[in-house]
Amino acid sequence: MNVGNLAVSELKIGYDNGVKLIAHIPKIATEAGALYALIGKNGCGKSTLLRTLGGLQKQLAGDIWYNGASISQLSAIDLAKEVAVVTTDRPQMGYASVFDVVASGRFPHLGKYGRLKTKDYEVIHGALKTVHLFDKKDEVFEKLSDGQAQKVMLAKALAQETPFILLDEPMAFLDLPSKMELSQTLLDLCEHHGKTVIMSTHDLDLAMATATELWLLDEGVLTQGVPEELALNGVLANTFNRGQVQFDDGTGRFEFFKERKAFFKADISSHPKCKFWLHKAMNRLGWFEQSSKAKLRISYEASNWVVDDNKKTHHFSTLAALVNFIKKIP
Amino acid sequence: MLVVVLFLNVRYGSVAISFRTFLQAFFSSEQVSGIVMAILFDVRLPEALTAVLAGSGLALSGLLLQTFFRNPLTGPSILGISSGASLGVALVLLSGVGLVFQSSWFTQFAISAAGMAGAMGVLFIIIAVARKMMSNVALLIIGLMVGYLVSALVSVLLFYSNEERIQNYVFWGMGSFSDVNGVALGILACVVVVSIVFTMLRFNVLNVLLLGDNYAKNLGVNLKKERTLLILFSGLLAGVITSFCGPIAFLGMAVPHLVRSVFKTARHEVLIPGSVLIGACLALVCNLIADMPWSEQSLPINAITPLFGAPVVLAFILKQKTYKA
Repeated sequence: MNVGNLAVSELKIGYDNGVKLIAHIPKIATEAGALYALIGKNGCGKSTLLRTLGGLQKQLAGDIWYNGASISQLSAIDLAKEVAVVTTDRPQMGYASVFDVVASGRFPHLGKYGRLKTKDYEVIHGALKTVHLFDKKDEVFEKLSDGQAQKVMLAKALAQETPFILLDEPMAFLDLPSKMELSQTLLDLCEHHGKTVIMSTHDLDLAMATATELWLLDEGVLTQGVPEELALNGVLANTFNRGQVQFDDGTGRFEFFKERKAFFKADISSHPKCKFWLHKAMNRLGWFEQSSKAKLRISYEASNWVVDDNKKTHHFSTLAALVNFIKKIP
Repeated sequence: MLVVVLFLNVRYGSVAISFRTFLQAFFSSEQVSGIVMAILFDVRLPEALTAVLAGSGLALSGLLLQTFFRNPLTGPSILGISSGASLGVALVLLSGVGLVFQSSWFTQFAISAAGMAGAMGVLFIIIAVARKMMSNVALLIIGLMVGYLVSALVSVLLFYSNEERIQNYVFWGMGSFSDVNGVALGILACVVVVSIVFTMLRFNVLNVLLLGDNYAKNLGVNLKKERTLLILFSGLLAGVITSFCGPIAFLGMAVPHLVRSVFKTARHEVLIPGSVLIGACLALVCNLIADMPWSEQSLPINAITPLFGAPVVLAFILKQKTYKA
């Protein structure tokens, strides 16, 4: 086993002494400084895998190594210095301040009497600054929003100063800018601090944009690969496609499946932005661009939308008015 | 504040003693009458010390249990530990074992030993369950069920007992700080002091336990060991105090709440000394009121503690917007 790695061999995870086998993973090997995004449908066992890797629940079979040391041979404190886990549960801590919660991450590093030293304060403050919550350090943890609480728990994991960080749905309660900010933070931790981050997420867009590698857990099988590779070879589409929602391997996004009701032609080559958003609006209504079958020609002239239905031309000053007009076409 | 209430406890009681005589008894070489000396040093001082120890011990026990269960509405009586002690005491008082030996000292000892045995018995059941089941809710329910079982058994014992013995048991059940002397006081002091020192040395573990089992485990806490230790100490405290002083209601549950809302913190390095001090003060205040310095009679301590305890717990529940178990 290489040093700097999290590795597993013939790992079986599940519950009830093997009655419920969730997944069998023959092999994982991580690299220091990489970000792994664990994806999969609801209930596929992402949390179970993270809990097992983090030592919170026992594996059914196989072994897990941290830097070459088997998880079964590491003492609780030594394991706590290797891997920090951030679960989805939010602790109920009464009057505890944000600082108190983050400070608990220092527990494995403290001496016999548990006093925080100058170095511990530096680490705690640094962790709080990393998640941009330093100015909230004296606030009561319970009063924070769910998103902020999640960032505090990440700061706790950072204060633990472990080479490995396991995050269970760290983005779940965050708004989009915060998600991107957190992704940036995680990437930074990986690239500049050499941490290995494994996070489960439902946000495939973000996972594709940030992860070194995707770990796709489906039907008890873990498929590992570079995001683009998994998109290109159709693995993602095979896993996630269902009825109304389709993984579009042309755009790398999930799209609603829309019945193609009618077709139009857009003559807006000089306004690429207008053309883009016109397409969005028309696709939502079930209209797609195809010149050969086009019932309408739409152009954009002098800040007006111009629609030609082969009989007469209509002028609209806003997209809303245009959308209203299109809706009324039988 | 502790010093003030301690002073008031020794100063005032059912028998009025003039201030001059009071000072003389402590600080002057002049001879004070033997009765006054006896009242001050054999009755009031041990009683006040018992109140201090029992109050701080119960408060600490309550704090440990509340941290253990991460449930602020827990106390020594909830886990069935007090009930276990009651059963032991009931067996001695109601079966008349104590009366077989004519010595009152031995009766005292038998009562205390039986109470401790009962408390520890329940404790071992709970520890055994805690080793197998990690669910706190299950433990709470077991505690409640043990309580019901015990009151059922006590009812049976009461039914077959005679009037005098029933009266003894009822008096014990009302609670009192006044019957603990000599050896018993020594035992009480040892248990309380050792528990305080031990928990203060582990305040850090207690802080981490507040995060919940998953986070605590991830931080390297040996959950089984710490949970066993926590139960052991909170049970030892509650068992010993209950058998000596009777089941004192509400102190163990209410004091940690008071401390948390006064200090606005969840850190055990503050909560432990805070609970110990406020628990001692509150016990002394309750004892002072129960002694009714203005009259020649005394009320049982359990007639007073709920007057403090119940409003605190009620205020806490009403303050919580969404209470989660």
